[in-house]
Amino acid sequence: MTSHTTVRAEGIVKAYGRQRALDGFDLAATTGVTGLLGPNGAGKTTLLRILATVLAADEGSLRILEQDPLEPEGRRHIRRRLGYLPQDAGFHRGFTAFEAVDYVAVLKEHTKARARHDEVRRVLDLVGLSGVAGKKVRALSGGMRQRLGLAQALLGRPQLLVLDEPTVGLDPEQRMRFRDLVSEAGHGRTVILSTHQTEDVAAVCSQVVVVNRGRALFTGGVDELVKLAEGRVWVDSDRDPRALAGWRLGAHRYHHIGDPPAGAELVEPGVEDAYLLLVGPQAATSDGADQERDAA
Amino acid sequence: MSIAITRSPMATAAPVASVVPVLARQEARRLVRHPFMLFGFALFIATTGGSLIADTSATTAFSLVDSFPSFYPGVFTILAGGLVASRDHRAGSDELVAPLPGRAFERVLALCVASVAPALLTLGLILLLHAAYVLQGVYVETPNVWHLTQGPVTVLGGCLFGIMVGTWAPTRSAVLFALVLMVAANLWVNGDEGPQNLFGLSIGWGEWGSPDGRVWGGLAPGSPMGHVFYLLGLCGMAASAALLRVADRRTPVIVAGFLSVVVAVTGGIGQLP
Repeated sequence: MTSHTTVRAEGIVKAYGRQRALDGFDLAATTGVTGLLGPNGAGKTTLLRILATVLAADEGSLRILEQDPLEPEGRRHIRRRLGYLPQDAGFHRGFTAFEAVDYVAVLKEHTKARARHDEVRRVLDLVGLSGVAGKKVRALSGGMRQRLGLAQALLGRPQLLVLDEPTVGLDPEQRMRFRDLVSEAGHGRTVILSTHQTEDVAAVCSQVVVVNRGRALFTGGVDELVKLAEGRVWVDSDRDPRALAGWRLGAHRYHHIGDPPAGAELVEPGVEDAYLLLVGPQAATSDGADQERDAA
Repeated sequence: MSIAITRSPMATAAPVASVVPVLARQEARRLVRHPFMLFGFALFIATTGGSLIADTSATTAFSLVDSFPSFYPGVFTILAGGLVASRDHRAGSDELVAPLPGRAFERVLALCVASVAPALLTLGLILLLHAAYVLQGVYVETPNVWHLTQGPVTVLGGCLFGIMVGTWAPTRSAVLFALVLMVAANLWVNGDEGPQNLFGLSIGWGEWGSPDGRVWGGLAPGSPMGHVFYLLGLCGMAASAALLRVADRRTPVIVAGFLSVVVAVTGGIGQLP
């Protein structure tokens, strides 16, 4: 591996009681955007919490920004170069948007008042919240609060950005803006994000890791992922019971994945098709409790 | 090949840039402007302001500068301190602030330092009130420095006690319960006649010579200096207990806590007549 590898994880294991949220997870992330795609309870959040130095792995080898996160000095080094957006980023409702980000900025060692305030204004501008900087958090919409979370993660131009479900709560326009932001952030630094949105992965990720049951099922480029589904996606006027998964597209049109029957009308696959083929159809209908978070 | 990693606590080296002074200034502003704190100060100003206009007795004037601040704003500082200390947890920010270079230890330490702000504000108000009483010639015996600093130290202690509770049990109900417990315990200790009431937190050193306090009854026996040191010891104990919750290296905090106990015990014994 080259020296540009920002995150190098080998055989990472993390268990909550008897349940293994991560079971020998391998990951190598370099400059660019790496997307973690997986169903609920796959282990994405646990992995991101370990990468953000919130949790320690039980087993395995991990280097982040060429540091060992288990060493106090190493962890400090990582934390000074890290931007982290957790899944449920809360801010004190009595703070203004500016105060909320400013508070994080102080904890990120931005101790010079003028420079810190300039940096807070910069990140608020980046996420399009300049106009509501003086508004209390309680008065912000869910999408605005999500962008506020992203703003604090961008403070200080971190070398490693860890974003857990960053597009939750964003409307389509905000999501487009977010994609621009993340793509831009991926130039010259490493972004690792988890998402359920295969469109986000296709739009911004240079590397995709498909996660299920605490393991990486696939690691590679978006094109390579899509190639896995070539010749295994077809449409039909009726639902095909032999398909691994199928869903209605419109009037008398059904989209199928799996092993197509002879003479099937094959279509160009997408990221979602490849993802479902890898993790199985239960991912498409996964509405159970997030085992990983419950266990945590 | 998988390399075994031993479990270790997530201790992290201190931040390179000292965030405590900056954070302490911010938290001091938040503490002083907290609605409960403002309410406490408003009550103090309203009551003492009225005493400057009305015909105030020497005993009342004395109690307004020594013991009254323990109630207003003292009681409310417990709420303000507890709510500010539990803010991140109640807001769901724990996960967000956990991997920041400024650790929980720096955050709690900054809050402890910030607690000095409401105490200084109380001291400023007491000194203004004291100057007014001196100019009006209200006092029969003038309060000394220990009488005047007792109130601000109880405000500091109230705030630190709130921070301790907010750090260990970061919920609104825990803070409220601790406040009720503290007031009840203080009333119980103060309710007894005898020297043991000096172990309470709100001591009036001016004796009432008549039921309405019109007649100055002299100074109560005991050492106000010892009492202030007793209170400072309690302040140190509260701060140490709060920091113990978040310290990566616990030994220095335990040593500080032990020294605080020594100060509290020495001051507590030294205050007795």
